[in-house]
Amino acid sequence: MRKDYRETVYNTLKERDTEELLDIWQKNDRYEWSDVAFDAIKQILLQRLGEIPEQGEPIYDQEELKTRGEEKSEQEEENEPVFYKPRDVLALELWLNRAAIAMVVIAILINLLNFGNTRRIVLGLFATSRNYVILEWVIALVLTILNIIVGSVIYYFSLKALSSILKILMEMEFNSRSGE
Amino acid sequence: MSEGDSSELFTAKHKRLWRIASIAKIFSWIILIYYIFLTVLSVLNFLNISGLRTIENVSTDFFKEAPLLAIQQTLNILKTFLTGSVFFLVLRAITFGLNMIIETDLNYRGKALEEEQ
Repeated sequence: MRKDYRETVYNTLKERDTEELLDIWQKNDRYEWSDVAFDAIKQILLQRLGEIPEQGEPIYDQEELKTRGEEKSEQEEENEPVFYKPRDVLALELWLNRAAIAMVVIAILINLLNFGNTRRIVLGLFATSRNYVILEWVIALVLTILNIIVGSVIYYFSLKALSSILKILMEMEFNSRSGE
Repeated sequence: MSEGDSSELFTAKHKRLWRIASIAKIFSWIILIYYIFLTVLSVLNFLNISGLRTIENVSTDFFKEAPLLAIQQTLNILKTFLTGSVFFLVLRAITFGLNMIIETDLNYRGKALEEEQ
């Protein structure tokens, strides 16, 4: 029963946007959300972002929520970045990671489908002799694998690096704020 | 950092960075639209080829007649769209990165100014 309940909570929260879940996670409103919900959010955010931001102090009653909201909004307004929105950066990071994986998949598929062309090119090298059929296949296979590796590595690491740079810059910006 | 503080500390260097970030942002959208246009053209081209084959009674289904070629064409269309998306994301990342650098520098300058006062 308990497991079913956990699963239901998890599946319901999984339908929500990452931004929305981040908001709930950071607000840490224990009055509105149960521990099971927070466990599920933590799990979902870890799956989607690879890491989770720190939570605020837990809120246990409505009065505290109201006071905290007023205090926080004043402080947040003061420290709110002018030139970018942190949520947009988080969303971009997520898309960069997805794009990195998608480009690897595309590189693998396209190079595998081009194996015939690669083999024809190699065939040209041994046009005068038909004694090297196995060697032709091996060279074509090695070239295809190399193509896949080079194509995947260039896209994957560039995009991953960009995503990490954004994360680091955001952290640096956050640390530079007054009162943080 | 509040908007008022940041406008006081906003120097020519920040302005240059901000301008580059804005250009990157505009270009990101232009490139995305361009690649979407290219993708639509590729799809239309693909549909035309399969349509012509049907008219010439070569085949009723391009995917059945030449599955490898059809998959290759589909993947190329997908690659065109993905390449555009990657360019868009990279330019957006440049925009955000430069803006975060400006924000960070302004925050430190603001802090230093507060300490001086």
